[in-house]
Amino acid sequence: MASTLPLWILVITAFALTAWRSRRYAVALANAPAAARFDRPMLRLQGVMVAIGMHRKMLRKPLSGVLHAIIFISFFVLLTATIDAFGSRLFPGFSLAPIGGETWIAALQDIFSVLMLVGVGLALYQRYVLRPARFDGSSGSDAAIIYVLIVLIVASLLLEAAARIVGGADGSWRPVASALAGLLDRAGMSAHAGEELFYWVHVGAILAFLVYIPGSKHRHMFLAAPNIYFRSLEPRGLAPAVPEAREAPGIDSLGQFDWKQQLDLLSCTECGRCQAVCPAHAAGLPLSPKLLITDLRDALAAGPSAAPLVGGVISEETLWACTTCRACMEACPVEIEHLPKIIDMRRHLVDEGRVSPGLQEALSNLTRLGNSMGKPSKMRARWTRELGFPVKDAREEPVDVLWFVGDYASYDPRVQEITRKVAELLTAAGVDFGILFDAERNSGNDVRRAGEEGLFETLAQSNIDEIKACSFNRIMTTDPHSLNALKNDYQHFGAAFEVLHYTALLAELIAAGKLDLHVADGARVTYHDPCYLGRYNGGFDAPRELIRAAGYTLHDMPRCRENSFCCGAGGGRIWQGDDGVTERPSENRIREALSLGDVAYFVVACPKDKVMYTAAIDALGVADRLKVVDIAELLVPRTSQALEMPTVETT
Amino acid sequence: MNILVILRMIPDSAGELQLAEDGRSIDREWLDFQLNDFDDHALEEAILLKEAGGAKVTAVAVGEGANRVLQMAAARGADEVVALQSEEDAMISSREIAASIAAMARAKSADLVLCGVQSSEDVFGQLAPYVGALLDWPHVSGTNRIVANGAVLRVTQERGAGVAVTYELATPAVLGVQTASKAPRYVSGSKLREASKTPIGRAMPESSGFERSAEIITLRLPVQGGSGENLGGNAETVADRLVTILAAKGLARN
Amino acid sequence: MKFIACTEGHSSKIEAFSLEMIAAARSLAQAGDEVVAFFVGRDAEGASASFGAADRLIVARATRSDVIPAETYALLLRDVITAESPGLVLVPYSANGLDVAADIATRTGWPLVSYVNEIKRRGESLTVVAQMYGGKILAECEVPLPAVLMINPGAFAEAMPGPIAAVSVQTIDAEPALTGGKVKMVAIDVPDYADVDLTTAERIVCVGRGIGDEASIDLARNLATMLGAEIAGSRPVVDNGWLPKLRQVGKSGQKVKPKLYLALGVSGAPEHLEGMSQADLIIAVNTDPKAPIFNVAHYGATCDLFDLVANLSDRLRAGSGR
Repeated sequence: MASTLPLWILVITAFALTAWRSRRYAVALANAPAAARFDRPMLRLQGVMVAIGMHRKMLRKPLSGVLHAIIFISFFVLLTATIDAFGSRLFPGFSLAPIGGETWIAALQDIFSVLMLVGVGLALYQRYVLRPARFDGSSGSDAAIIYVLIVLIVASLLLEAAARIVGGADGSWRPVASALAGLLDRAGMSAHAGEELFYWVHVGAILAFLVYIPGSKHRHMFLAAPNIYFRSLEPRGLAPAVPEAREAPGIDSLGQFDWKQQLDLLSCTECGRCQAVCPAHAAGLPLSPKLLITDLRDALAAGPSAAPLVGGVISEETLWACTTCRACMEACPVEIEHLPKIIDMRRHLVDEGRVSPGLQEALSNLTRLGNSMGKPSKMRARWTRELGFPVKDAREEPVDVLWFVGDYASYDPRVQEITRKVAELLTAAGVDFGILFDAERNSGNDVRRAGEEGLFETLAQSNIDEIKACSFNRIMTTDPHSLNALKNDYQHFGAAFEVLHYTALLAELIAAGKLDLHVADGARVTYHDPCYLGRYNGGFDAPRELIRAAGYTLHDMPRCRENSFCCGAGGGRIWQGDDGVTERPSENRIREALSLGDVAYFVVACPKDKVMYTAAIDALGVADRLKVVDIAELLVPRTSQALEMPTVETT
Repeated sequence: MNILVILRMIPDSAGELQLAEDGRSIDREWLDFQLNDFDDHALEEAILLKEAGGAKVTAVAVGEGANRVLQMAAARGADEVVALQSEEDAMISSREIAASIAAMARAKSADLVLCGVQSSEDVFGQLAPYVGALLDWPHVSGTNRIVANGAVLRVTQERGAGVAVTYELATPAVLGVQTASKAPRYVSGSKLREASKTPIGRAMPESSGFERSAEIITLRLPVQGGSGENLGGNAETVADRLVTILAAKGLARN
Repeated sequence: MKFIACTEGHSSKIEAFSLEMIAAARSLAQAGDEVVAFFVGRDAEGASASFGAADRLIVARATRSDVIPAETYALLLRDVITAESPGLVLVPYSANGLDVAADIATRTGWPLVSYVNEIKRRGESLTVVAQMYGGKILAECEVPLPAVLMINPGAFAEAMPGPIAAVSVQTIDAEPALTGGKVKMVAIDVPDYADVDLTTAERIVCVGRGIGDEASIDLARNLATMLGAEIAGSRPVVDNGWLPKLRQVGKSGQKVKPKLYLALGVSGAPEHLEGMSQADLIIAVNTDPKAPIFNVAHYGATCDLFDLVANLSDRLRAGSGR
């Protein structure tokens, strides 16, 4: 066929252009530091199947998920048309006809062409009519070009088939093309000329698409699957260690990111789901997880430049805005890892001493005294003085449960009362427990996530040494942040403790019938899932069981469980000022709870939440409508006075 | 330029002070000790001078926890660190240590001695003027900015009511730092770990040389509450009372 | 015995604590004793016109310099001490005094006690009460004479200002010492009060270290707005950059005398108290019942300051009909 040679030239040129347009990424990935992401292939594959095959995360946004699924399936069906189009002319004699190319495959192509157009139509409706905020900052022209190319490919496919039907081909398997053939016929177009025209438009659009992809978010067609395959299989609560090969603790150039971190950048689809759930972004701070990734990606594409990575490509304010709540990573359909990048860049800032005054004071206090408040360590266990019974010193005698109390629960006067309640509950249930008194140090969870790896190591080592010197069976923590550090981060030092949150232990005690509680009359309360208990460590159910056991009815907020909205305190944010914050995340959350209209209690299970939300309620002036209570306050042994429920005006 | 910077360890200001049994000192057994805040600024100023024009910075620490703070000083950029021995469980009187510091300044051929303008234990006088007078070097206390141009120093002193006065003087000199030109920098844990290998020199104290000094007879805690009325610790009742008090004094707005 | 009361002034202003030094000396003087005021500066006339409570005035007159370097002050004082052989030299706790006191003590070999609040004479020695640890501890000291004392401003009530007889004024020329001194003043910076002048504010809400973080300043600021007050801070708050320097109350900031001073989380270091203890009504909130601020407060509360701010704001808001 006369068109074979031109087509070969066209195809080879297109592939060469595509390769040339991808060269910078290929070189960057080839030169990137190693990352150990080749273990457990079956588990990795399974994740890919769920993520892509079942569109698990995609379908959390129904319209997006469904339209993407339509386009995705249509793409695979129409791939047969692409194979046919190129195969038949590159290799004369090639045809799909023997396996049904002109019968059932043709019918599928015909139907899915229409479905593809429907999918694109929905996409256009979403992007240009609904215009969700998560697309803010995404490239609009990139999306538009893709839509045009898809429409061109599909339309030319249908029209080419229609032209062939006009020329006498059998149209019985192609109802849509047949209908179009009627139109073409009436337009008086020559069948042969039409077929050739639409054929070349079709292959031309496909090749243009191919050439276009390396510079477009549509790279994800090729990279989403590998990026999901090579996802981190570490526990979610384990912050990445500093690789031994790295000289400084942090990262200050793109090339220092390992290949998976760089692959992340290329895989981003700019869907903005991360941006939509980011508390820092909602607070008006200069952080969008999406733009963080795309800014890094654009810097990678631009190649070496004079602008520094930290403080240039990514501003310091952006890095410090993150609460490390992990909502972005949870939302990302292609498993991009935002937090490791932020933490690595923060490590660079900390190593250079570029920290805000508030953070500096907290870190200096932690270095000096082991707590962020600057309180003497001798005062750590002072809360025990007002208990009616002594608390065991776990360093002196064996205990069943070693209670790691944490800074806020130990020192903050607003939380100490709750700490005593927990102690009373444990005693009522007959638990043999003890604490470390002044030997306990801050767990280092947020120190580590603020990028202070050296101080984290010092704190962790000190706690591990103290804990290992004690005789105990399990560790209980008050603070979900301590829970995360002890359970996950301390693994870096070979420490494998059985650690559980106090809500888990209390749920266990109630299930075992060891706590006899007052049962409320089913009053409605709402519950805030702390990031480091829920999203990080899967502790969703125990708190809910406790609320139920205490006789309350849980009315969950729209953003709950994995989708819980951060209070804004994590990752060292609690030590920083809120310059630039237009709406505090904690106040945003309180408004969400108020909008439920029928809850009097805002139940929390994290000391930092008690502090943050109490302040938020004060700031909003709604103390008469909502009260922050810790779960431990809801649980009242029958031997004590029952909790008095405030009256609430339901709206 | 050789800079000698003095770092005094003092009882943590956040801690609760209790009197020892003899009634003449505070009970130091349960106290945390920290670097005198002004000395921290002096150290920062020394490092800033080194960064601006080159200098050798020798940090001398005295008191409980001196080694820890010297490692921190090394991590921040001190070239040499020396622990000056002091009597255990005794307050660090600037009057007592001044002669030792003056001797070290001579031995190290210092051009500039920097220390914090005050410390919580300098009831018998401040270090900078003592050392300055002993060496017969000019001294300025309460600085918030020091610029070195060769052997000439330009020093800004904080006075009351926001007034700042700039002086010029030649080295050798002694300066009592109130605030460093930039807030003391943060030293990361990893840098501290690296600096923990820095060798720490030792120095023995000299006699103060003073024949007659004042002496503490007794210490006491100030009378609590003064003559004011205690409104208690319940925020709601306190707020109620304050509203009434303000209204009664015509201080509620409008 | 002779007492030398060191006095100060800069530009054309006599520092108020000068009269306190004279009063302190006067309170110790017995029959046959002499109180000698020593002044260095341009305003020799001002000194003569107000130091009448002293028996004699020695003025080292400067003609050019607004600010006398402490170096020069100490040098001139040394000559006076040599000439007069006093039993006691009283130096104010001021920027100048901080450099002068220990310098003089070294050169004379005399004892020195700083931050003195009270002095009692016991024959050939004194018993003084001085502050230590930011005012958390008071030290009673025995001081053999002759000696140097550095006196806290506010510890003694000002002596009555009044003119001193011309015959009792002895004037020396400070210029040679200023010209030959090793420390030269090159510039003086007086702040521009365009933004805020705490010294004339009628109501002040002052936040201290207890406020915790920068974000919480806003809570206090809202309260201040409701009270029609200016927001101010103690030194740590200003050093952290949470409030501008012009809003600092205390020794190195502004000395204020408002009708209402509400101190939130201020511990009350002597340097802070110096700047505000003259306020008409002082209300202090601090969780530490031993905070020295309570020593000067008319009303004190030990509740959590955030709880109080919230409660007080609620009531004020309700009161204004919102």
